[in-house]
Amino acid sequence: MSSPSIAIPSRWRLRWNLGDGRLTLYFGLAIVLGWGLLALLAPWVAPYDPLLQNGDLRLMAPSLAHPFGTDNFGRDILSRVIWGARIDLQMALVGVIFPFLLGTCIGAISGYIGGRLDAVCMRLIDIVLAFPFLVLMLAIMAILGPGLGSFYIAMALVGWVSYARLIRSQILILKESDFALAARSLGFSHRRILFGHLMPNALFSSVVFCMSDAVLVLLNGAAVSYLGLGVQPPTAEWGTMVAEGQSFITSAWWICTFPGLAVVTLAMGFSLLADGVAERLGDRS
Amino acid sequence: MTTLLQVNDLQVQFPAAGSGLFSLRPRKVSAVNGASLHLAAGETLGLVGESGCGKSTLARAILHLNPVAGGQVLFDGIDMAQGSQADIARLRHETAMIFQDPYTALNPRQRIGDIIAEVLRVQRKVPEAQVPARVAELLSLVGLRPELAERKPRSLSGGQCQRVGIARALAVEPRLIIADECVAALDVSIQGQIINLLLELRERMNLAMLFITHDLTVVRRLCDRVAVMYLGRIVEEGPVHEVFDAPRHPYTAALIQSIADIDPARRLPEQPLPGEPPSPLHLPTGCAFHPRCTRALPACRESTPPTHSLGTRRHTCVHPEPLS
Repeated sequence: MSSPSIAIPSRWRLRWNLGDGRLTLYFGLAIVLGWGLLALLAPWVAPYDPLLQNGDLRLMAPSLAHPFGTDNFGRDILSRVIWGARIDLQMALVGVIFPFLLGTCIGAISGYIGGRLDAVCMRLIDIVLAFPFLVLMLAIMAILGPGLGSFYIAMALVGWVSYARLIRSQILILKESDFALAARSLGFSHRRILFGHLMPNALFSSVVFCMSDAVLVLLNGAAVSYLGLGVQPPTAEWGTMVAEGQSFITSAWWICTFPGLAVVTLAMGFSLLADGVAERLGDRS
Repeated sequence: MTTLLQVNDLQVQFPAAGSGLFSLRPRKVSAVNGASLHLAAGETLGLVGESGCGKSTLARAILHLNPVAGGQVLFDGIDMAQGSQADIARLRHETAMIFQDPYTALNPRQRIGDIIAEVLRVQRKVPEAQVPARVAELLSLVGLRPELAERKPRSLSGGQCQRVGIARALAVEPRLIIADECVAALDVSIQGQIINLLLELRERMNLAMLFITHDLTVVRRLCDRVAVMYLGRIVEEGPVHEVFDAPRHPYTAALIQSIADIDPARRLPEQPLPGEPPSPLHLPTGCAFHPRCTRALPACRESTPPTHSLGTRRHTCVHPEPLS
């Protein structure tokens, strides 16, 4: 559907894109699945215990025994990065699913029913959007107390608005379509029309947004952990690791760098996945 | 013949643009402004008029898909405008609609077979075990191969999709079908096929049809009677041949004059209808047609014209006599 307007030599496009975004999709999928596999197999793959402190091995530069080096407590960074994948992937997935479910339901019902309910929902969204995203999240987390649970709750309370707006705009268009009218004229229930006919056609953009949202959630999770509100030490989590390593940035660069790179690669995996899915599904609707 | 559908003085209004949540006095647009018509079982009525005159709105109001502001819609003698839930449910089981754009009328994510099967299941037309057989039967009835049940709408042609739309309507086993411009979006050759299919189905199933179109040649081919609509009102109604041979309302006459005939020798009038139809937001006083009428009298500006009934024909104009 969307072909680049700039003339790219076809051999280039072939190499990077296979014409339909398949390479993007597979590459993104490979990165995300790769991290997923590492996270699942962490007890077997990680060379050391991520929490094991060793006073003799403090701030060791990367070597054969410790490829990513050790931190100021003598813990192996590679093992901590691998174990951290468990927490960070979980944050990305759970942090996307709740806002997605909440926002999709509210947006769809609000758009479908319309009228006053819709007006109230839209104003509510405006209120949430009036605050900077991170500020509102931090405020909610400060009330609930630090931890992963309050991160998920804050994410759901703040993140649903984007999904609600996306899905509502789609439902507003679709509910005027002939097939929605046909469904009404055939005596289908509102629930069947909304969830059986309109939603499958409306979800496409939200699913794509989900993938790129996973990146934001991941970065947000890392940010709140960095600020000390998310995952608590000594649990291995990439954001916390970066935060802990920042005071050693000049003397032991490896403490921040490797978890930072992990965040970047996983985020890149999600956004490639989003692009690939968008391009593949885009042709179909 | 028994009257299946009787519409009396139907009014449909919509809130006009710009009247939001907090406006004190919301403005209303009258899309249908006192329309009346009737339809007997097994009969085909053509509803013609310019775009925006309220044809589709009238159709949707008849099927209780638009709110009705006033008047009656009697289906089988029951007023559906004030109908209970059970009445509406009965209406849904006995009426069906066919749409203009064959692609947008079908859910793009559903397979053809599922589209039809869903109707059979929701309306409990046949036992679950017989659903696939009935789907195949309906597809063959509209001239499609049953194998197409596996396909999605986008892999079908416009004509095929329209046949699926008709099969979906027939799945209801309706007594009344409302076809809203159902051939306007198709190629001319496909139009002919669909019209022939509708003619054949009508004979076979004793269907009553309300056939909405702006194409008068289609009306002449398919309909028993015709109702001409102008700005939310029916201005003339009668048997197709009588109305086409001797129109009584000046608007009908202008419409019939502007039919593009296959005969090149007959010249079309230079300007059969001057101007555009007025906005429904500011309806002209008196007869809504008077600003464009070639036979308008001063009285047309002031008072609503009377309705003259002559045998099976009816028209609403100051001039009771046929146009010469």
